[in-house]
Amino acid sequence: MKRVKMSFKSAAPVVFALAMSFGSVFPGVNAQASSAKETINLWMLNAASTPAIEQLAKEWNVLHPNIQVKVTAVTNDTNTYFAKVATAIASGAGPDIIYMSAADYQQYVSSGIAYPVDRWLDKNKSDYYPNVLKSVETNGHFYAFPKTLQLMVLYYNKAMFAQSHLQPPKTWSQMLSDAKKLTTKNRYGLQIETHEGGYQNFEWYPWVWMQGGNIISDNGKKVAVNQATANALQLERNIMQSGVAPRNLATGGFDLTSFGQNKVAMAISGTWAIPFLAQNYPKVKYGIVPYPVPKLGMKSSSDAGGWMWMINSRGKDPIAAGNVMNWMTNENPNRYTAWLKAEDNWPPRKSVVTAMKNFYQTGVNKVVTDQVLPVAGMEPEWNAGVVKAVGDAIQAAEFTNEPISQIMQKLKQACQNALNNG
Amino acid sequence: MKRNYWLYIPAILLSVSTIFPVLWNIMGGFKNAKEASNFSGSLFPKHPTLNNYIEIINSTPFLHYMWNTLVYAGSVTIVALLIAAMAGYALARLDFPGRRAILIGILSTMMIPFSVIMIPLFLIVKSFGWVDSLWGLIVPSLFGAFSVFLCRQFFMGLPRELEDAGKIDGLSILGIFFRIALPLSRPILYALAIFIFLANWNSYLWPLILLQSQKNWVISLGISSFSTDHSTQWNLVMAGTTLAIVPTLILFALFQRKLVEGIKMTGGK
Amino acid sequence: MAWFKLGLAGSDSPPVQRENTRGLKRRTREALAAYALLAPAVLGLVTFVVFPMIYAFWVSLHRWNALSLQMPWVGLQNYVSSFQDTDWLQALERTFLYTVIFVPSLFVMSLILALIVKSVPHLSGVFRTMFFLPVVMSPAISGIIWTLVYSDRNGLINRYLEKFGIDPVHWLSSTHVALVSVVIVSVWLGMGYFMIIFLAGLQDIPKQYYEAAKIDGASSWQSFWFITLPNLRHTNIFVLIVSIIGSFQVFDQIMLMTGGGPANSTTLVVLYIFQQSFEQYNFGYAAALSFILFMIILVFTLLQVKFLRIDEE
Repeated sequence: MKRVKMSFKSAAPVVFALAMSFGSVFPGVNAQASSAKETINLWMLNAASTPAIEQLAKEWNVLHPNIQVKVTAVTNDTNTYFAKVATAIASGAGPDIIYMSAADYQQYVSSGIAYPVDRWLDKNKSDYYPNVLKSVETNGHFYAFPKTLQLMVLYYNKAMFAQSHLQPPKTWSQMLSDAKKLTTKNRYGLQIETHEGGYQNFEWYPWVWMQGGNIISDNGKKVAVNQATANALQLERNIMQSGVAPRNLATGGFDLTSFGQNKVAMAISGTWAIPFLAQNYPKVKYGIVPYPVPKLGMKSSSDAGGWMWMINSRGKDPIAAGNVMNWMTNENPNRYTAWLKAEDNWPPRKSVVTAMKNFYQTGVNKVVTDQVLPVAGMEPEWNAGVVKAVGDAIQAAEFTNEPISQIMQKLKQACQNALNNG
Repeated sequence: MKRNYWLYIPAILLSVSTIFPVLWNIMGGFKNAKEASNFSGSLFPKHPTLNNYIEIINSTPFLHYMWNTLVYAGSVTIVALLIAAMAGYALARLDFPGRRAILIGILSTMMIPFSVIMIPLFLIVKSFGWVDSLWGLIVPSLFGAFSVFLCRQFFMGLPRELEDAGKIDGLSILGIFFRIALPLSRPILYALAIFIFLANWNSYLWPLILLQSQKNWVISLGISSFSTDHSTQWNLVMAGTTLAIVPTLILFALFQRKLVEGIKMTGGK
Repeated sequence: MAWFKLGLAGSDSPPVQRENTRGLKRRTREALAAYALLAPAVLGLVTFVVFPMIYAFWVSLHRWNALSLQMPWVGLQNYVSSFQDTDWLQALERTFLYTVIFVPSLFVMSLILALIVKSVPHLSGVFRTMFFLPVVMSPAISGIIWTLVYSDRNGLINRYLEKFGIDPVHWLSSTHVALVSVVIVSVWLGMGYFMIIFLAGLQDIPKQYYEAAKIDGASSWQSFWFITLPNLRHTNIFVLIVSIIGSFQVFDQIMLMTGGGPANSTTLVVLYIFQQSFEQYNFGYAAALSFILFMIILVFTLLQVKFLRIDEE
């Protein structure tokens, strides 16, 4: 028993050391009260553009000693990011500036979180693309500083295509047959997202839009599911069940690591992968084309996603927060050049495309500017019920043998329920 | 004693399955970015490098995160052990009104998904002024139904004679607990210490929700910062994970021997 | 709260047979000591878990998206709706299936590991450390490794199957197989943990029992069956109760490996509740689902408390 006592005694210095360290680790639970400065909290997802935003915040902080911006970027995962934001807001401890996705935009606007930003946006209204402005407008007011645009495209490996004497696909059937030809024992022909969620839907919508179809009507009030939707689901089934695409990805479909490593010949992904490939796989010769279409001559489509900046109306000083975001994104569009380049995002406004002409008219960027940007639709802001309904339909098309007509029935019903409840 | 040499066959097969991920991760920490993200490449690095460690330590406050995590997990472990042992002993050995109700009440706190109590817990922690501070991590983690129940079950299985001897010597109930039962429960306390330490050392969701300032971050947040929304630096993730698991492995190696020191060795009789 | 009544003083027999009674005084002292020992744990749990649970219950009677300041009262509507929610009912069904496969597998595997460690002639410390490694490892890395082991082509398992001429299995991307694949990973993740608990329990069994059995000529199987298992009673109860509760709460490995797919085939209850909260913003509904889950687990646990006679020494 003596030995036991010894071991408890020997733990005492550890306890003491830990207790002492509290002093250094908790330098002041109540420290914020003492300072006269105002702190504006900006929360964002940990993204490729985070360093650029942090740099902008630094510049602002030098110019405005009394209003200091503090950037918090804690996770790369959308679900946990919004869990953090919602928990903080529900407890009255939300950030002043919220990095906002299209999928969550409506929920925040209808709950009264979003502070109207008309007073800032109105001045430059004419410089923004109309559909971009529409995506931040609800009932005649603007509720967010517009997103920069990330566009969905098809990446293809030039070397592999040359080796097999193939041209980049223009139609769905070419895409499938190319994928089949390029699939070998150690290589897949095509990579698409496999896990259900907002991103999988985002990647899939252009297949519907290019046929003139949609899920919900433009005014957001009616279910618009039709044959175009069914065809797009059938396409998804054909890709998955022909064995040309991996059925479960270790990392997300947006991640082009496998493409860079020559393990897939084609991949659907967004423009964020352009700087990623340049940085990590500079030797891979690849090209970009718009999404293939069902029949030659039809117009392609794309999805323009991205993140908006919302001002928390329950923050301590929404005007100051709005001034910060206005300074960063609206007042002088050149300020976000670095951040646009970090993610290869397209600016939401015309003047910047012109000002950064060299950047947007070079290499693969030129294809995106000339062929993809003009046909892209904005990422939908449908409610979460619709997102889930579409996600379930895509998954059922890919991984079950349920007839497409039956999946369509369920999709229609689920979308209708979501609209009724929304 | 019979020599069960055949047991080495399943033992080795099973250890291969458990050691592989750790080995893969440790090796990955010595690979360059390109090699580390090639998951179908070879296990051993072709061009071993220490650059990942240098980068992590020089360009991020990773050692500071480790220190924070040590303070958090270490202090939780010491205090939580005592709290759990006390409660477990009362539930196992003492007779009092409401005994079973309290046991079931304690167990029932394990039955609700964390995501549902996250918002109210945040509200409570906020009312104590602990948002974005290590206190908000430490204090709610001190109380665990799992630990209490484990201690209770252990005390249930202990032979009662040893404590009766204390009774005859005229020890009070608390005296018996602190001088006899607690020392006797060393094997389970060591096991529990490892569990509590690991759970807090690796915890991710609650620190993510609670913390903002980098100066308060813990290891798991530091590692997650090597991933952005569209790509992950696997070389840094694996080097960071190696830094995170080495202290826990040392801790386990130190403690695991104690796990097998049974009652006999404490010389209670 | 009727079920609590069963356990209140007076209604159940005293668990301890006291050899002498010095009247009420001794009883009172014992009760006071017990409350003092329990106070920190109970107060802490009440503050940081029970209060939040009560709050969550209150939320479950409302329609709330966590963001809005309005929280309209809907009574039991959320509970009623759950019975028409086929996604929820399917998630429940899958969770039961998961539990039925997971709990016995985990029990057997952990016990086997513990017995191996205890019985190998040498190197038991090494094996103990090896077997514990999955617990130490970051779940994110383990998730990646298993995804690779399971991958359709070049995955470790399918490569071996190929050698025996068996067609590759879609371990994580077939709606029929994915759940079982997740169970295998869960067992792998948890077995080291419960191995330690079994080891601690095995330490409790006096050596004399085995020696006596040996003298009586018992085989090692017989001594396992008649000495080891019965003497592990309290450990067994712990492992069963905790692993059943845990299997109803499984979340991390699913998020990491399948995201609930393919086609929702691995969407278990806690993942569904998480989606309802932070993707669908139906906090009131998510809270109601949580309490339904709570009641189910509680009933299971109370049945075990009754049938495993958890109070007996």
